Amino acid sequence: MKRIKYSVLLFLMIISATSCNKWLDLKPEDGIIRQNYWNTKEQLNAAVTGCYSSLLNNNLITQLFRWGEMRSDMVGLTIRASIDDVNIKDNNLLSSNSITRWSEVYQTINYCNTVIDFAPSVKAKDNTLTEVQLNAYLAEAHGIRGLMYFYLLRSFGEVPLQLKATSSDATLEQLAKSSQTDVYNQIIEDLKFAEQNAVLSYNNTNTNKGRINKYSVYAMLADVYLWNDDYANAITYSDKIINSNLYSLYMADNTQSFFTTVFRDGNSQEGIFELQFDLQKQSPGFNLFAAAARPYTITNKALDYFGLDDVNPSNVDFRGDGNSLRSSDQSIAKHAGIYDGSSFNLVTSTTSTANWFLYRYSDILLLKAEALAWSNRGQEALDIIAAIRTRAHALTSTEEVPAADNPEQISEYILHERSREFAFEGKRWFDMLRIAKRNNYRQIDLMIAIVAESAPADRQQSIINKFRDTRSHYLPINEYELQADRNLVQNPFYK
Amino acid sequence: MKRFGLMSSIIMLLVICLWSCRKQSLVLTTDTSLNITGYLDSNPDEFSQFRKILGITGNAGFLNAYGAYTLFLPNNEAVNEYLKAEGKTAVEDVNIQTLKDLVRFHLIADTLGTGRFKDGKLPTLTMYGQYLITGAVFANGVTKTRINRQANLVQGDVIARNGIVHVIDRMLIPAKLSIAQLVANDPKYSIFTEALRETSLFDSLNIAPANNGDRRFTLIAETDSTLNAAGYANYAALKARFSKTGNPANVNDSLRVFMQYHILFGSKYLADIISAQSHETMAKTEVITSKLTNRNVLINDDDFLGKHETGIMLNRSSSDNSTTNGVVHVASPLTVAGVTTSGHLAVKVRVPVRIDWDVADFPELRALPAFFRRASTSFPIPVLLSTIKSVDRVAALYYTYSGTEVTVYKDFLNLPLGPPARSAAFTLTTPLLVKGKYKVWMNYKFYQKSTSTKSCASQVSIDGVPLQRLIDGIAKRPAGTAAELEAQGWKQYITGQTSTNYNGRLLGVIDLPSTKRYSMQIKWVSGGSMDTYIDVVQFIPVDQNQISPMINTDGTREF
Repeated sequence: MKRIKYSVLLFLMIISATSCNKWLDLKPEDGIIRQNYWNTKEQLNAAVTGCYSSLLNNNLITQLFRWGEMRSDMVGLTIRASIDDVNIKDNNLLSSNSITRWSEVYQTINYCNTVIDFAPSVKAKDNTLTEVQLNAYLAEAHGIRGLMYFYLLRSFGEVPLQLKATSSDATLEQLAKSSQTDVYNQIIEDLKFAEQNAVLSYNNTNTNKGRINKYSVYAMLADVYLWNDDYANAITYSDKIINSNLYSLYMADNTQSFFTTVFRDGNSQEGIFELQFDLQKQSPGFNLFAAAARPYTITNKALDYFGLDDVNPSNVDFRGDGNSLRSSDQSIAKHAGIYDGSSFNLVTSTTSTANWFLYRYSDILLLKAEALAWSNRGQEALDIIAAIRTRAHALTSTEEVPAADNPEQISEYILHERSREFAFEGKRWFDMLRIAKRNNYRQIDLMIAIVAESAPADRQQSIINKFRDTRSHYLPINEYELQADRNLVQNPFYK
Repeated sequence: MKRFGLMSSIIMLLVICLWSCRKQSLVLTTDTSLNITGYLDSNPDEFSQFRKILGITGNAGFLNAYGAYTLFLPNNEAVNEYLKAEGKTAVEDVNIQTLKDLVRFHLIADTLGTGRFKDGKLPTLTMYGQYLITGAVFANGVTKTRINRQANLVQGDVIARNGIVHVIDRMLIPAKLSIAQLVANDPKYSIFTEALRETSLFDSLNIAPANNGDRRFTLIAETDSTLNAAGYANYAALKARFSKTGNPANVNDSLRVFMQYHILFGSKYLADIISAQSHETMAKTEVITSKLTNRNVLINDDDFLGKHETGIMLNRSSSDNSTTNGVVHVASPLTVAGVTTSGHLAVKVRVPVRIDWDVADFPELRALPAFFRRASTSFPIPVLLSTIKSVDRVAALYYTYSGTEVTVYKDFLNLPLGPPARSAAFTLTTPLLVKGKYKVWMNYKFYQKSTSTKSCASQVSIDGVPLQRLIDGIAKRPAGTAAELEAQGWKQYITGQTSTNYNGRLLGVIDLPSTKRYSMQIKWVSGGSMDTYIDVVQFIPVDQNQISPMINTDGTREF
């Protein structure tokens, strides 16, 4: 009797133990887990490509565009704009505003962190991966991470530095904000690594403009150094690009060829780093600037910047109507225009394939000019501006003649020239802030004048006074982030 | 055994009882957020003093009930500062009526987040009956949001279940003086005050809204130095210049009209003044015009008949003074185009003058130099331009230019009228029109969409007053002499242009009550849905020649 009981028990035990076998296996059957990944260099290549494809996220680009344009004066709103955008124009920034969301940026940073953390393990498993190759891949991840932190630095000032991959619950960290200096140093460190290890060329034009190589890292470094008023380094890195003779200004005959070559087709002789869109992965240009429900339009100020030839109206700046904008319906056209014969149209939902421009050759030239102006080389700076203006067929009405020994006047001129050259490329506000904040906010009046002109009449005085407080130049931290990370403290202006 | 059984059952029972006694934790509320009073109670370190005030005044209960309020909440520091200034040691020492007024002054029966703060008053009155004003002030490198020029915002937009709380660092004290008392108490305004008294307007500006049908006023005051600079050394000089009847209190006396010209209806802070183009004054039919240029608020600074007339400026720092029954601004000098004024605001005497209004000339079009009088363009839906607005936002607005066109400036405005495919109406803002009696001519280019469209008639109204005749873009003028045509309300308006494709149509006679910019609405009433091509709208005083001078295509008049 007892024996039967035991044998039944034993039998049950055996059945349950063996049947449980499969259930206890936690590996997914239809996906790859980390332990099975990071084995070959092909997988590493795919992971790095993943970092780039996260840059093509329309929400990310929209956010970078808003950070770079919304607080300045060239982008206006249509009736379809969101209440959040209206609030930004009223300078009514609350932590609930969607412009303060940074999750897409940190998502890209996390992809880079994942590559940086796990790529070295591939080398142990795949002998065909050389040290140089591995470092080149790492350079790309560091480069993208540096660029993302540079956007965060310019938009928020102080941000948490997440440098480890968030690969499991155990690695979730509650980070506090790092100071502007720490973020800046991290960016430089990332970019320096990328500079050391990035490839010079991928031997393919489109890849050279679309993936990070040494020259795109030089461009970022020049930009970052100038942000920190490190003129010598900004000039050094600009020169590395200029002296390579790989890039040049596109000397266009007319607006149409300028637009089509440099912007519509992209990857031109001017392109240094462009986000690559095509028919399969279309750019946000259509949704933002061309769709019937587009939220953004140009302002009258934007038109003014290109000037007017009173005597001969067909004498125009190549960068204005028919290029960066379409004045017949006040739409932003840089990423959304397309020529059909000689008529300038907006893209449709199936033809929004133009690249998104992060660095162009003219950008490097003007960054260098700004650094030159502050290095007692004003005349060289003016020569660069003149060259840019000549190729763009700028009008005499927009020409300025600052003294070669007056860096502030030259900076102001560069700010005006940049408004024409990089109209709607998401750089305007950062240009305003960089020039205004230099030397302990010596030129803040430039910024105040710009925002005063575009402020709504019944809020103008409040807006002017808010911009006088330099803490307001950086965005508040989103309320959701504050809840999720208890160590984050709201930026002081928004407390 | 039996005993053991008994014991065990007792233990069992005990265990069951113990278990069952455990309190069930059921959540009975759907929301844990606090009401305003609850918010105060939960932060006694900061708000115990104001909470005490609410208890004394009996307001704690209603702020703990359902509602939609905005409370400007003074923290303990604010209340203590107030007590110190009043020479009291505790809130219980303060007169209860005073406390009640204070609480009402901090409360608005509306939910207003910081997004609603502008440069001027909040859109809703406080429960006390005075407006609160907001603004941002920059000092020592820090910008603070300032409430009523008395307190700084410490924390804004605290969301309570029954409203919004804004924490402030000082108590808000309601204004005690009326408009009249404010100027009377300030020696800077001695001449102006005397004039107010003599013209009996002083009393009108000294009544509390509660005793005056809730009426409030806005006064643009002139200081003695302004009047001195304008050539009036004292009140006697002012009276000698303006008073024609010898009795300034007489309603027809010009001095009284002059003083009334400085008084606007309603509480209009600077932000409200620049939000409209003109404001009615107490002087019957007289208006002042206003605008924002750069950062300045300008009054009566107008372009009239191609000439600039320099107006005056309202000084930002010394204006926006709240009183019990309105607001006081200070007139100050202005320099525009080399002309400096003293800040003296006098009624403009103007006689009715003919206006040829080129409707295809408006700021947004002028900002497009490649198109203005050079090429056709359009303004997308919704048409909400500074001076042209479509009423139902259905259709775009078109501007047509052609080098071979023979209209004035070779261009015209194309209004797509007739729902549902086109707009029901467009509203256009006229240029400055001098008060008087005018004949209104609509000069248009003939256009017929298709032969099946027999008419497209629209009604034109000026500030809501409909004109007698409709405008129909398909109609052409009949044959006849100029005089015969005029009798029937037709004319040729372009010099030498005899084609009946270009017609002037008399819409009717209108008596414009004051000198200002009017709003003209063109509203489709019958016929087909079609584009209407409008070139020039003329306002010609009734006593002037209605036909000549005609207009040349370059915009000049042919005498």
